[in-house]
Amino acid sequence: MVDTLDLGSSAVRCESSSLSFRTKIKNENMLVGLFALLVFLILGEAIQSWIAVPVPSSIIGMVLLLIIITLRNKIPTSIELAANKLAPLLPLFIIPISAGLITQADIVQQHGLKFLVILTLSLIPGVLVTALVLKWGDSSAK
Amino acid sequence: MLNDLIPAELLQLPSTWLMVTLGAYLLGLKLYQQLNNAPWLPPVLSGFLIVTLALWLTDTPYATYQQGGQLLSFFLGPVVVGLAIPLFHHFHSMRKQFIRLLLAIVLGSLTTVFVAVALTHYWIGIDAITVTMVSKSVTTPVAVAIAEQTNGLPALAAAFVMVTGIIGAAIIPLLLKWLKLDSPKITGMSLGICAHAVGTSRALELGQEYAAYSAMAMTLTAALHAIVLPWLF
Repeated sequence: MVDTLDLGSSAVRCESSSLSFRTKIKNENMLVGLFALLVFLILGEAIQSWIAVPVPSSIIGMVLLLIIITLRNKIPTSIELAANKLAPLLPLFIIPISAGLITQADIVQQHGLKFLVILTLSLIPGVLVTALVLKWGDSSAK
Repeated sequence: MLNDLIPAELLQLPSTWLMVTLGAYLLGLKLYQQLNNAPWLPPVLSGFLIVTLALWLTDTPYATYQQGGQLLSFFLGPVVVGLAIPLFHHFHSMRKQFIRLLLAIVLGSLTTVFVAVALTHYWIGIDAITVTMVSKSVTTPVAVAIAEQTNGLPALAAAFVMVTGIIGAAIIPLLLKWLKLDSPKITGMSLGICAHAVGTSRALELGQEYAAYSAMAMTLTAALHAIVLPWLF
């Protein structure tokens, strides 16, 4: 959402250098970050095939990364750089998946209206429960 | 239709479809900016419409398209792994009231999912669709991962998520205002829990505090659902 780039150590290291050199370091750092994200993704994949949990491999990778970050109590600059670069491009990555809807055209045609009703109706109890839990928590805390 | 004008080999090339997808996204982005960030036409929706139109006009099978498209959708994996970073930030900033917020997220998000799944089961009754409904309240990359994991329909999951987000962002603030329950915490959390990223961008319009709660709720909901729900469905 908010694209805040933390240059951190790499920026400190090349304070005195030219802008293009700094950009180069940043790009390299981003690749290191992307590499790290891929390593965690593949680790997630490996764990999933070893112990056969039904959790998506990317989520296992995320949990592993979260554990490492929590243990170190610090986010590696390169990983944050890569994640912050990728996140705003999310809509682009999603378009090819959603275009698959073309293969489900008859389901949508047949049930489209029901989908709209179900998706709208189911929001209301969810919002009410959320609001009540927070309200109840607030008043009991006072 | 268009097949007569375009050499058939071009329509088989992965790079053609990579180009079309990128072009559709850029066009959608331009359109979105022209319309002052209209919530009903996010770039992902207009991009989807343009790509689908191109596939339909050229009579191209989705499998052929996906050879180019998957080069982009592949990146959903690293993006999901990267969610660990906002999650870590949120754990830190919300530590004091964490239990209560977590309770709201667990109960609120599971309520909306179970109601949707129950309605789908009794009203439509097709298992593949019911399973797909499970991931309707989480951000798209995670929803797609859940749908693949539970043998749902990833494309339909992406559509459910998009529709939920647009409807939720529109009605949740109104509903809470009408019930006089509107506050940065309640509205922000509700938007994040029920309407994920689209809700969070709506929350950003309401204010920074709304957005902070919404972003946290959205990330935690996604992680929680991805870890818990595949065991149940």
